[in-house]
Amino acid sequence: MSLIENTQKKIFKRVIILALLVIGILFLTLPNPKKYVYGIIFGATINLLNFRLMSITLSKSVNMPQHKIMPYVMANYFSRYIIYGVVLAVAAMADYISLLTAILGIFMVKIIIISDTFYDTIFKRNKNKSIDPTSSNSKSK
Amino acid sequence: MLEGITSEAFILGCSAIGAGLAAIAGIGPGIGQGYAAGKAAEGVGRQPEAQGDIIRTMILGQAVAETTGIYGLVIAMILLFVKPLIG
Repeated sequence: MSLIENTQKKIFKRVIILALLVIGILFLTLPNPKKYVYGIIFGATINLLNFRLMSITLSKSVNMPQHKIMPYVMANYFSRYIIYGVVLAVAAMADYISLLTAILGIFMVKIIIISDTFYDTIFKRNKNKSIDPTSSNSKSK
Repeated sequence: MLEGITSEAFILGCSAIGAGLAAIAGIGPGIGQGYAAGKAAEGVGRQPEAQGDIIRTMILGQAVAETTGIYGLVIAMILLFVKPLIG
């Protein structure tokens, strides 16, 4: 399996776990969480599908002629933008879907990517501190 | 000039103008994504063995960049459908 597919799978898995976590918290804290849960599921699903669409578009665009890349990527971006617009409009108009949780679901991939970077930075920093013996020696001197 | 227009209709009109202006925010990420993809293609052409790394980094970067356009869309949809300025 290629590096790109691996990364996608990792992000898909984490988004699903995060969505389930949020759904669990909603079920535990709210008396009637149905519409909030629908919002999370709706937003996160569309976000994951759009992420997949974007990765397919970008993987194709890299092997295209230089002058065709920008219009191709922009056209695909605006099609995704319209999809997001429809999703938000439906979430705002429908009574049985919460707009707030739909927005939260739409930002899930971004949350996962940024939190992954934060986690890596903190973990690597701690690892370097524990491995590097010179830093403790220099402090003691 | 504004005779016959209720204050509610005026606020709704202004909200619609605001929503249109907010939706303009989506143009920037689109141009940026196209530009980034072009540069990535240049990079792959220069160093074909790093294609996987380049595309992976580009996809993650563009997923983050795309959400900045969605912020504007969210504001536009809230102005249009939730109507927060009408009490």
